[in-house]
Amino acid sequence: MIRIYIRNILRFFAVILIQVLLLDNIQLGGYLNPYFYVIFIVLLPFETPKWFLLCLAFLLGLSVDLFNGTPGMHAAATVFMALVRPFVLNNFSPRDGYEAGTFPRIHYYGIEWFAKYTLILVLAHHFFLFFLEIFSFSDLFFTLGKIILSTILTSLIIVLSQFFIYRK
Amino acid sequence: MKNLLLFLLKNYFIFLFLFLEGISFLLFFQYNDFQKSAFVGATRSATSFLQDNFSGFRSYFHLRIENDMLSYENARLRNELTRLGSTELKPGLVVDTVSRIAYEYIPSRVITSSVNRQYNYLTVNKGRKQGIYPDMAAISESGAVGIVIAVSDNYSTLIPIVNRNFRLSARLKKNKFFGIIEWEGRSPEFVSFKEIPVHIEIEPGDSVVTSGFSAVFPEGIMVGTVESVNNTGGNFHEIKVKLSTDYRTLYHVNLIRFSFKTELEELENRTKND
Repeated sequence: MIRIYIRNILRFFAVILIQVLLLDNIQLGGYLNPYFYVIFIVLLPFETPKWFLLCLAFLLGLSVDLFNGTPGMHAAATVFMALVRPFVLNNFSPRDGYEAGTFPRIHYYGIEWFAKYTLILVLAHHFFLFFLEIFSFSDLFFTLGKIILSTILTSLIIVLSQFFIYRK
Repeated sequence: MKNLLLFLLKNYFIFLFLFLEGISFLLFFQYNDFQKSAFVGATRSATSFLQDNFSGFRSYFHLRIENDMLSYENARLRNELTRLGSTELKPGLVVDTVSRIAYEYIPSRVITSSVNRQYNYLTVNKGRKQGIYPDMAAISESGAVGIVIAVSDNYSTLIPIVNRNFRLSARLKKNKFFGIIEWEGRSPEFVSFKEIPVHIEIEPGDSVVTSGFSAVFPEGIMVGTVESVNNTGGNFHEIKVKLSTDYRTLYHVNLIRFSFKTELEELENRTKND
């Protein structure tokens, strides 16, 4: 149990550092920036209390905001993502629910399940984030294109990362 | 009352969500542009120390381009040197000792930058201790970069041209008509050049330079070249300008200290008050 706490605390700091020190510096074509840090919310244990989930999401978003100079923007998007997570998990649950002692990972529920689950959570996050950032509906198609491309990229990185840093 | 509490308790998830979103939005909207830059400045000084130590490996991405630019700059300065060396100073020539150098360049290195957001910022590794103050201009080898908005002891934050809040007074190099440079939040390569009346002839390839109207940028610093001109029937051209600075590979910037800034501002304020 303690190990799960420690692992998640370490992951919390690791994803923030990876995001702000590495990914924010690599610009792909000028349009895309993968927001990989949301993987923290994706990988939280099933048993995480809902209130704790929201608070963690808020803290995570706010930490990324501090580095980016965008107070509240990432926090709002990440909290929204945390709201969506329980509903997505409910919808995608296997017939007899999630087994105790398992985590939302490819190892337990397969790549198809994990990819679908990640894609929807990331879409929720990016949708909220990019509309908040642009804050107008005038460039609707540009924004939508940006959302879709970034969602695919972020999800791809999250799924691939599962193969590279794989632990049971 | 009991029912209300039960109701709140039952739906605590959604209420907590609304509460946290409320805080986020409050933070997001409470900071107007000016306060936002102050926020950026304050937090950047704390976070940039960390990022400074990691920017080393970032530099490897751009080594080749950086080398080319430096050797180009080297050649240009060498040419300048030979040109200056050949002009003889005649004995008895009165040397003007009153006027000082108006613009002084302070080289610095980019620690963090972004180009794919709507409100991009740059952080450089020179700050108050090195004589940097807000409103100083920043240029690269290829052209105008941005303006310092906040400084800490050893770092400063720049607002680049590719930020939706940025406005720059610029003019056409060939006929000195001036307008405003604005970024529309799309590609970091292009900006739009506004308020040029339709009767001005303008062609793709024309150079756009800074106007020097503010005490920030010196006159005639390259901004970019005209990419395309559209006329939609209004009174003004719709001009797309390709920036000469590539923000994605930007690594060295020079900050410009304008020695007569206070004098000029004092003068402007005096006329403003009348």
